[in-house]
Amino acid sequence: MQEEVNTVHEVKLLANAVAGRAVDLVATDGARAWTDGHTIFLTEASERDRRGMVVAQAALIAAESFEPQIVRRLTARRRVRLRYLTLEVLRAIELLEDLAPPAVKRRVREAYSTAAPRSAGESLARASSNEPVPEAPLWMGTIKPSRILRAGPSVPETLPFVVRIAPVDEELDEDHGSGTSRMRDFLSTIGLRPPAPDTGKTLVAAGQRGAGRAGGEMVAAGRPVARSRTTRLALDSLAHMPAMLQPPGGGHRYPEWDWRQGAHRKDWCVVREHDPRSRELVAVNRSDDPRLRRELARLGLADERRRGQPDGDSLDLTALVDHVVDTSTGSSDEARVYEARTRTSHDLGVVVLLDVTGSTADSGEGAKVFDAQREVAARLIDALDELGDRVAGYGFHGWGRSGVRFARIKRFDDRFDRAAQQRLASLEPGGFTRLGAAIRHASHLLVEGSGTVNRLLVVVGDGRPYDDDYEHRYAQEDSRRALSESVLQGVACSCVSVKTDTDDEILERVWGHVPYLRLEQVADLHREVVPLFRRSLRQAASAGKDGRSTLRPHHQ
Amino acid sequence: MSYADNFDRATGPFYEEVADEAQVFEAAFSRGLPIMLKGPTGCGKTRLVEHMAHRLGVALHTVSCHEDMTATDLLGRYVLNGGDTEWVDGPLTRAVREGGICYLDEIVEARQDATVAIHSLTDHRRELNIERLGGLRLRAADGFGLVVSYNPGYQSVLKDLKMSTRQRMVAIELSFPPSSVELSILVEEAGVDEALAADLVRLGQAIRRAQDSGLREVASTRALIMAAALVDAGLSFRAAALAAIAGPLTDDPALREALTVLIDTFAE
Repeated sequence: MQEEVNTVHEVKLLANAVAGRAVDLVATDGARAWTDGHTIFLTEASERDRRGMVVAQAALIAAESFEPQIVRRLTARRRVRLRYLTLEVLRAIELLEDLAPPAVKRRVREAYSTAAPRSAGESLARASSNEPVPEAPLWMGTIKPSRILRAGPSVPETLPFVVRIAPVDEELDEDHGSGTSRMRDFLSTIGLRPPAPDTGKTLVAAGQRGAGRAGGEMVAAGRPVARSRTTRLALDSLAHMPAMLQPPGGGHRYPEWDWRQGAHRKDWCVVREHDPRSRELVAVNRSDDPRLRRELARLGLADERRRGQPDGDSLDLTALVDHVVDTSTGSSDEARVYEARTRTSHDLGVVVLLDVTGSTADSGEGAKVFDAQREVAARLIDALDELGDRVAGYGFHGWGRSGVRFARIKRFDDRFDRAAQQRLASLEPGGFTRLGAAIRHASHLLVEGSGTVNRLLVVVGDGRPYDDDYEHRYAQEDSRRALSESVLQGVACSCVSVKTDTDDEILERVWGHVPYLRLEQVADLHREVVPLFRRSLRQAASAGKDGRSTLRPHHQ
Repeated sequence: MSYADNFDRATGPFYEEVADEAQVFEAAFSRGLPIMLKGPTGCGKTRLVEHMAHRLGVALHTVSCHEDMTATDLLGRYVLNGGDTEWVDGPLTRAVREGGICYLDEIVEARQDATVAIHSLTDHRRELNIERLGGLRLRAADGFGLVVSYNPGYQSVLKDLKMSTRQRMVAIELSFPPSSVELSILVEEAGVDEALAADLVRLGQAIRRAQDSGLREVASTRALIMAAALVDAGLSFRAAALAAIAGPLTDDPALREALTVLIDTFAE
């Protein structure tokens, strides 16, 4: 099993390269490989066939072969489907021109050598005609219309949790026929209309706005707990729904800690990044906090060589020669001929991780609390960016273990400019808190992207984990574990919350071993934050040497 | 074929123009404007400068910037000679005195004080101020030009090029050449046939197209030229691509494996 997973990862780069965007790969049983437009499902095959099927299926994604009105006409017509596949792979490979691997191109031509169709429509027409089109060979895989229609359009989406429902005729669906109608039921239960493709709505945000509508508050409260019998029924029948709501594209897989088993669940969570797009122009004020900047300037310092010093560890030869010249000409006899190391250079990489989940808004003053936490994130990012530290900002929320979403506010290499400020301002709280996966991904970003020795992860939020199948002790132990693992990797962790009412017991279990700050008002930030960050950085720095024993998550 | 073999007296170092970069370069140089070349590693920034210096018939003083480089290294310093001291011009001072292009490669790697040393050269004054020679002010000779290069996406750079420095320059943005141009570059530079060059270009394009791949940088034109040279020296396509492209790009075993599959697919 493990081996199979590995072989899938190996072809990911190839699939991404041919498709021109991130594609997921999954090993599956069955005779033929297939794709739903976002994920390619691979079957057992020889090396050569495996590469062939990856290229063929990824090329179909690149060529956008899966228009719903065409795919719908392939349902329940196996022969037409496989002939269509032959023609579409031919079209896709030709479309790729130089990007197609020559060997696969030759194999496609061997399968059927003819003029390539110019469109998917032409392919369908020719596949249905009496042209002697051969059925696609085994290595090309197959097409599964129902899966494609269910997965939705293959254009990358930007909004989190955009629900798109293709108007599927039930009788055309081959398996799990009632899935879509159940989904539609569910959406109307929680006060959502199945949106038309171009007016896609953020599921959770919409639920929140529509709090007055039937069942709306269920999601607005940020908890996946069904409050009425109807919604519970809908939820039960839709245990697999979050996976169906997945936006396309790749993702980062992370394990999750199961404290009962005392083991990690491998590749359990999927974290995806996206660029939030503000629908209307949000007016933003720069969150400039000079006092905070002055405080943070003392953080994450590193050695710097300074030449021409009056004292120091080694001689500065240029200064020494100058000194000889100066004394022989009698112009000066000040002997600044040493080189010293001083702690004046900045070496600090920070990820500010803002909790944009519904639970933040889960109180009487919900909106105010979230705005205060957003302001904390803005001030931290602004001050650190201004100081020349490596800082990145992300908002996170999600639904389900494969639906953790990271909204990019500012990557390490971006400036905190108006566009970035607007991305931050446009975030609306919604969804749930898979804290462990979020911490793991943020640590990964720090380790991979910061390029600094001092690395700091700052979670801004109430610090309370909560998600689908991710509650109570399980969620708390996993979050705690994720923090410990990060610290052991040399990533300093801390949490800043404003006006939260999270239970002390939860805080103790999740955050007990790393610095946690509870603020009453944003204006206090500059006073508290540097000692907090300094404790975190010290903890991470010592973790590699002797801190391990105190950081081990407790086993039961 | 080595680089030296490839140096044709008539055209100088080989450079295949993609857009109007040579024209912009020439116009900026003729008006004494400093030039900033932006682009990813190995896309031909240095080669463009070499080519233009030859084409304009001026000397080229190249400085590879590094983190310990100070203004002294650019301007010049006193050295001890017997019992006496003697001033030795740095590359920038020499270019200012004699004319010619002073090329600061990867300028963001240099320390701030080194970068600031060029400021007075880059505006209307066109003067170099050498404090250590008693505040000597050198007017730039005719045919002096300042060119800097940097790679905007470079990961280890903690700080950007300062705005006050950037604003003084004319920017030329380079990227990897389109496949037809890259193909002729490979044929010209490595002396390989078109079929092999096309295979390598295809592989390079595929690596650049792979999104979300985990690679920090993609296969550069320079890496493709090296791979072509290795094939020309007798290696197989696969071995050459692994050595010149996959190896340098990543140390991560899983990513390397993924690159190997990609190479195998294109080498088949």
